[in-house]
Amino acid sequence: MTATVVTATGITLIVDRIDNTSTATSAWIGWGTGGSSTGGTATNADTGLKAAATEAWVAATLSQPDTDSNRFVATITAGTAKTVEEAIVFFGTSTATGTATNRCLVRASHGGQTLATGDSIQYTITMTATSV
Amino acid sequence: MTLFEKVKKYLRQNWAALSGQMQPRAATRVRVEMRVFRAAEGRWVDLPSVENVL
Repeated sequence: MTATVVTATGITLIVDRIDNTSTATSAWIGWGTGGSSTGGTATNADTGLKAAATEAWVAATLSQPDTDSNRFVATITAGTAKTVEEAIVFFGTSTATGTATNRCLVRASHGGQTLATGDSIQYTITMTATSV
Repeated sequence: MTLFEKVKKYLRQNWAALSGQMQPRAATRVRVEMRVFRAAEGRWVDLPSVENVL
């Protein structure tokens, strides 16, 4: 099922960035093949990809398209044929997962995209905070 | 009831609102837009976007 969330871990990252408890400024986008498997739908309890693909994560280009928004853009190219079903935005100093300084901000289970070797997906992920 | 007791009673009854617990919650919206490059065809194809509001 398609879904996209700001994770609970991502909320802790936002809080820590505001008071400089976290100084991580590098964002990465990674993709995986686990979006449709059992438990693959994105939820706010996610801390990473369900099934990471073999391609290295790509440093995201950050921008602020509006005063209440952050945007992350990256393109990942398939090294082998596969069906990509999920993506994450990850903040940290490396692509290692599950540490205090490396945290998943956004996870999306976006439906399967069948890719041949050399195909790419360009992700544009925009997070907007709104007072309601 | 003294003025001090009245103030204490007011604070006890209204502390949640005064301390911000009754403030509106913020919503965070995430939109994932994708386009795929088909190497064999040499062209980009837009894909449906995915969006949630929490």
